[in-house]
Amino acid sequence: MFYYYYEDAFHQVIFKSGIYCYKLKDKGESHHYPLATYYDKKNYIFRGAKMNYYEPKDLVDFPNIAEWAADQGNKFFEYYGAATGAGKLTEREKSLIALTVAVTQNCPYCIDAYTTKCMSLGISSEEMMEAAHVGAAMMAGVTLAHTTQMRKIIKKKEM
Amino acid sequence: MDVREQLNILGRMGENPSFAGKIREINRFPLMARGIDILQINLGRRCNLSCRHCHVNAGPDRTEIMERPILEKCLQVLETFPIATIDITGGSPEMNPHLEWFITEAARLNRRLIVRSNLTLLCEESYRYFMNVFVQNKVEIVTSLPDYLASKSDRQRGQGSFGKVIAALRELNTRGYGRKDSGLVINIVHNPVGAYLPGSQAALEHEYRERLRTEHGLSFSHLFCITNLPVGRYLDYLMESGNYEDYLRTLWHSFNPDAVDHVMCRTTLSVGWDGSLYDCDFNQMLGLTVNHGAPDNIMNFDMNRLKHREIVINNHCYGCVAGSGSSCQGATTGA
Ligand code: SF4
Ligand code: SF4
Repeated sequence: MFYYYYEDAFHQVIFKSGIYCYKLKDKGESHHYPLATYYDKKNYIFRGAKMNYYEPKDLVDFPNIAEWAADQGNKFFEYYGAATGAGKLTEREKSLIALTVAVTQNCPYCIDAYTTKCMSLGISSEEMMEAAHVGAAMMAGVTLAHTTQMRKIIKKKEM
Repeated sequence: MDVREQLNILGRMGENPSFAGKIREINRFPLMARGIDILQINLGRRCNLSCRHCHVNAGPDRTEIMERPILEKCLQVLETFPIATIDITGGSPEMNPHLEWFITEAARLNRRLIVRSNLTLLCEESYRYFMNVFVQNKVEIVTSLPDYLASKSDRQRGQGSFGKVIAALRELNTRGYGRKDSGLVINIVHNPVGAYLPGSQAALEHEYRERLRTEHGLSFSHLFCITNLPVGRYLDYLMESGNYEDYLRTLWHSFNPDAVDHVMCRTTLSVGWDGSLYDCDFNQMLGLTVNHGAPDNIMNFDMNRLKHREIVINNHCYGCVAGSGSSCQGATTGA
């Protein structure tokens, strides 16, 4: 079980595995909310420096990932730019593909970056959600397709 | 939020360097004007809409309206100096009772003449005649349509506004606006409906053109992408939605040094409803009049002291140099 603790001038926040409690310091009131409600209310969970391994502001560190292996890193960036920039597919199409991969791979940085990029390109929430369903269907299909291996082994080994 | 409070918030940059510090790093400080190619005249803060992103904080209850003596002085300045572009903005310029007269006088000067209209008023019987005024004087219209989806656009500008813009655009199209070879130009402004930056202007223009053509049978001249600057009602929105810090960080991380040379204040002078002079419409809404010794009211206009004035900057300026850069004419570097 994880415990996180965050404090600023007005609040003390403690949460564990999705349940948290926050206190208005001077009034001494305590409130219990599910994680999502609190996130909607104040956005503090991602703002508190001690809160999480994944911090939205770490996204801006992405350009620095070439550190300590500049040659390979720079080659990656060159490739990344060529692969994601407009080509025969438009920037919109490629951004939707990237967003879909990001949600299927649970990468919070890429989800943040590509949701924002899709919004910037005028892609609607409905279009993004449709793309996410393609990803979800693919993940389900990929999972079920792999039951072929499972079924083959069962059939081979069972009497 | 009053001006002092806005400047207070803008002053808090956290770990990010100030705009002044940032341009000093690249040897662009102080930022100097290059001349006055555009006179942008803000006819007042009254508007029939109250858009959520409005840096002017305009609305139906605002009373500030530019009076005739100031407009006459603007004309005199324009007659005297070869300023290439006259850019009329507001509020709703149509709600200033002197607009028709001013357009007619300004058109005689043979300059590029722009009116920034939200178009929604043109659907009302008492304002319809402005369509004729615009056509007869070959006014270049700039109008805002934050998204090609009605629901999204209306979230920013108010229920039903999208439909009115579409209806007005349709009529303007039939009068020649946005049609090739008609000489009548109507440009659309896209600005993000939320706390993010606009994407590529070319890609968005392509998308707008396709959507407006196929879904509404409409055409337009060009699309301008304008970044929302953290000023006025948009700053309120950023604060209330808890997006301010992230947005400022995004602006800062999208800092484009090439865009610094192309900020619009280097070639624009902005006139407020009471004749006060500003480096741009954003500075106008922050009460930051031209400074560093230049005369700060059009009644004391002095070209020599204004054309190479030092520009008054603050942290909202990050918005003009993020990504592809942003100005009243859209992106400022390769979009
Ligand atoms: S953005 Fe334009 S149309 Fe909307 S309230 Fe402000 S001045 Fe009026
Ligand atoms: S906000 Fe105004 S003064 Fe600042 S860079 Fe933009 S145009 Fe210039």
